[in-house]
Amino acid sequence: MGVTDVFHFSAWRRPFVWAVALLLFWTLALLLIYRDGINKKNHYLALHSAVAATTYRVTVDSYAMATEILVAEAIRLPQVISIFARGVDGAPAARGQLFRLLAPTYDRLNVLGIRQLHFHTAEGLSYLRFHALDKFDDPLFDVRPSVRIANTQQQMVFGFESGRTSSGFRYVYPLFDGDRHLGSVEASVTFRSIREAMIRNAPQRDFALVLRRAIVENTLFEGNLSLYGAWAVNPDYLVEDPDLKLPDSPPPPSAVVLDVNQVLTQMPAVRTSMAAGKTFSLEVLTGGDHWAASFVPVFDITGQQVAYVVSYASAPNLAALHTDFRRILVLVTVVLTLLFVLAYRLGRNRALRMREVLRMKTINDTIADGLYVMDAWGQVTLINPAFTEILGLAQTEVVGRVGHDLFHVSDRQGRVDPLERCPIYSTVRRGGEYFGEEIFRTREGLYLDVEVASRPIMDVKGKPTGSSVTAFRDITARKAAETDLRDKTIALVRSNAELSRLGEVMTHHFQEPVRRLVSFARHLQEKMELVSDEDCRESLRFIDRQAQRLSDLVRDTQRYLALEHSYRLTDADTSADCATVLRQILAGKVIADAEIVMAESLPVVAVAPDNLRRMFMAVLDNADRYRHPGRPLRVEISAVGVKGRARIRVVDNGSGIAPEYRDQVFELFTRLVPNSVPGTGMGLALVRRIVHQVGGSVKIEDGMDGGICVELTLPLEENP
Amino acid sequence: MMSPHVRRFLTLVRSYLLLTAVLMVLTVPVLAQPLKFAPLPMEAPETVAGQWRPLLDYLSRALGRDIQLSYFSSYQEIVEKFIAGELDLAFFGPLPYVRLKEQFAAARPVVLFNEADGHATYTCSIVALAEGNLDLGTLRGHNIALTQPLSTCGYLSADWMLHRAGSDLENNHYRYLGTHDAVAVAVARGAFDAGCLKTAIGRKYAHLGLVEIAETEQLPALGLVANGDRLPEPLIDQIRQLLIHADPATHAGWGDNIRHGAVGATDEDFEPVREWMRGFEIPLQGNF
Repeated sequence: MGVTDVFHFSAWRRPFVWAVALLLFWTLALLLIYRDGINKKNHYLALHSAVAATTYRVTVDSYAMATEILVAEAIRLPQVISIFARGVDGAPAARGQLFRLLAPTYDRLNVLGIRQLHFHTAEGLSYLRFHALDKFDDPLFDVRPSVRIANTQQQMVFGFESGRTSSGFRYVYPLFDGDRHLGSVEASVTFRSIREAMIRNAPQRDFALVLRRAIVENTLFEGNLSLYGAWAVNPDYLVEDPDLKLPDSPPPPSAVVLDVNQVLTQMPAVRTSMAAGKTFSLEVLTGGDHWAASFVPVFDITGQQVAYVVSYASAPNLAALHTDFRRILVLVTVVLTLLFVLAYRLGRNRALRMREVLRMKTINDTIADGLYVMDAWGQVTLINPAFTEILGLAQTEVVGRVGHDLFHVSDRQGRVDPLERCPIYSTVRRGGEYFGEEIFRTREGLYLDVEVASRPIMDVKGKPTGSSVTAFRDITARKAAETDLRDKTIALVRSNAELSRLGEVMTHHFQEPVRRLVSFARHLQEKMELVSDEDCRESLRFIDRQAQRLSDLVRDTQRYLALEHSYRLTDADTSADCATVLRQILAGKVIADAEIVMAESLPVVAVAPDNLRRMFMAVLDNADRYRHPGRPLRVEISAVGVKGRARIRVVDNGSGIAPEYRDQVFELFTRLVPNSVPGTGMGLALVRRIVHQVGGSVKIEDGMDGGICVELTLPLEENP
Repeated sequence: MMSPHVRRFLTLVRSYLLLTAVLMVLTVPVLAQPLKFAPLPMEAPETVAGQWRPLLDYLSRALGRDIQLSYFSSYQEIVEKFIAGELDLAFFGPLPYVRLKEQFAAARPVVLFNEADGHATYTCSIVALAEGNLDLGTLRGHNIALTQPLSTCGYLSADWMLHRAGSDLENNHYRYLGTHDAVAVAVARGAFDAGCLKTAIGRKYAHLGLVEIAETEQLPALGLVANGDRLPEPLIDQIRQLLIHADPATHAGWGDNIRHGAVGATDEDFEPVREWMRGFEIPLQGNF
């Protein structure tokens, strides 16, 4: 999964997810650093263990060499062997003689730290202890494996071993008088001496020897047990003379060693590791200082772990490791945080960019217009699906080729101008924007009229990059529709003109016969008394009424048809004072038994005076014609100005019009009363036509006492 | 009104309670502190410490108090610490005790420890190598090893035995070596012609060729001395009874010099020694 894909996941856009990821990485880093720190510490402590073990081993081995020299140069002498041989044969004076002979040697051994010199018989009896002259003849084989091995296997043995008087490092050599095995001699070094030697070898360290309680208690003379005490760190082990009862006791543990022991007491690892007989070191922090306590197991000659050498050494490197750990942790924390912040921001920007790209791609793929991107050389670098849909050219056929040569033609004969003369390319190449209509050729060779919009692509500084994006729309159908509409409009105008002319001619030519028809009908009516037949008289009255009605219809139709003509002719005189027009009407028209109330202030509207008069005439005729039979007619005329328009209300108390017929009454020849009632059904149609001509509106609402209100909304005169 | 008798009674009760409280306050710290004991440095420190620890543990358990062992290499130093009130108990021979008593009246003999023969007495001897054939009567110009000035088996016994044989310690070279062991070893290795030490200790080195060429009369055995200024008499007596009546199986586990039981001691037990050393001057340094 690539980085881009990763950022498609919406989760990565959330800071919380990044914070959790940072925490996880930080935890992982912490674990790695911690493990590295632990490894370094363990390595460092292992070095301490190695140093302690080496110091111990070198010291013990150096004493082995010293005792070997001692035995070779001071014991295996003929005189010594001779006395010892007489002694083991039972000569009573031999023991004293042997003691006196070797006493000076023993003094020198004491100076070297070899505190014990001990002869044993071949049977394992103590013959002469230089360090405990009053104790002799006690059997040793059971408690001193080194003596047993040296005398039974007749070989040199050395190693740590607990003894009847004390514990120490034993170096036991078999002694022979010729081929006769006499017994053995043992030089023993107390831990006190080993410790002093180790401190000489490693002066920066302190050492302690702790002995396994079980071993000591099974081996020592009973009286000597009191010289041992439990080791505070691990009660399974004993230390020699913890209360410093003896004047030549080793120096007491330093205050630091006591502090370190105090800390070790609280560490379970000490007991478990000692129980397992491991060589190990532990870090101890006391008094603000770091110490390494190293434990080196001591094995006796049988391989049994019987004691531990404990080394105490200052370990400043541990403090440095801790400091390094903290520094690295801080550094890693800072670096990780920075990296994550940067990665988050980068990721967010990438995500935003990808989202933008996706959005653009979606738009690109969705829009119905064809779109292509052109580089500085006119080669197409990108097209959208609509491009293929419109021109039939696939992406593989277009990308990398010069678009102009491929699909842009100058005319429907397929002429292709050079690229430099391409209006699209040359315009955007100069950094300009091109909008216009062009002809594109499809893959099948069809020519399409297209509307083209092309813009250069700018860099971040606003300079043209040379590339451009061009969108185009197939307008072939629209162009055809426009042409068709234009043709139909011309035909309609022509037809309307002809119809208008026909109407005018017809009404003009109808007017004369109708007038004559009315005239003759009235003439016959005047002769009606001559006619006795009632049916004939009634027929004549019918002819008269219908002739009069036809006359009215012709008149009103003529007025209606003349209206547009008159509107066009009177464009220059487009305003009239409503009050003046109404007064003129009322002066010439007698409406019997009626009260006409005009508001004091009526506006001047942008309507030709004749048309305004026709409108008011039609409205007032209707009010008079359809007055309520039970009450006198009352008409109230008022007006208000609203946003450049006048709302003129003509309210009557007539018979009224049901709401469902209030739109219908504006249609031509619509009448809501029987044909016997006078009227042509063209009055309100005429009103609506005039109102629409001036951009106004008209509607009917409820009037007074069940009557109607005709509300005319007309434009006010612009410059009264 | 309270009667005078009742008032006196209450006053008496109050005084008694106050006194009891004061005594408790004064004695509790004493009881709580460990007892301090010093053995005589007759033998090697390890040996001495090993010999005494079982006995001290026995007393400690019985008394319910810890007992600390403090080793001093000089008899004189022990006497000084005792007088200074820094010790509660000490193991002394007759001479050191008499000298201590002269300077510190509060020293209280507690017990004398029996020797191996079951008696609370012991002897000192002059030892020499058997092969030396030393004649005490004509002893002159020889090197004599002594323990310490205040040791009963030191200058006092050596000089007494030489005079008894017709000789004089001052006609010989003598040197204080500290412990009886050191004297025995020094003679056994031939560094000294003779030495004076406790007979029982000298016999432990017989296998090296040491022989006794003179021996003193029976002397009061070494014993335990208490500091009467620091320990109340009942406690001293309790210690005495504990040691006298210790089970034989118990005291058999104690050190060589103290494992054969004990008897009660009084200051009168040391009267012969006091009489013996009356007017006797012991040089504090050897003469070579």
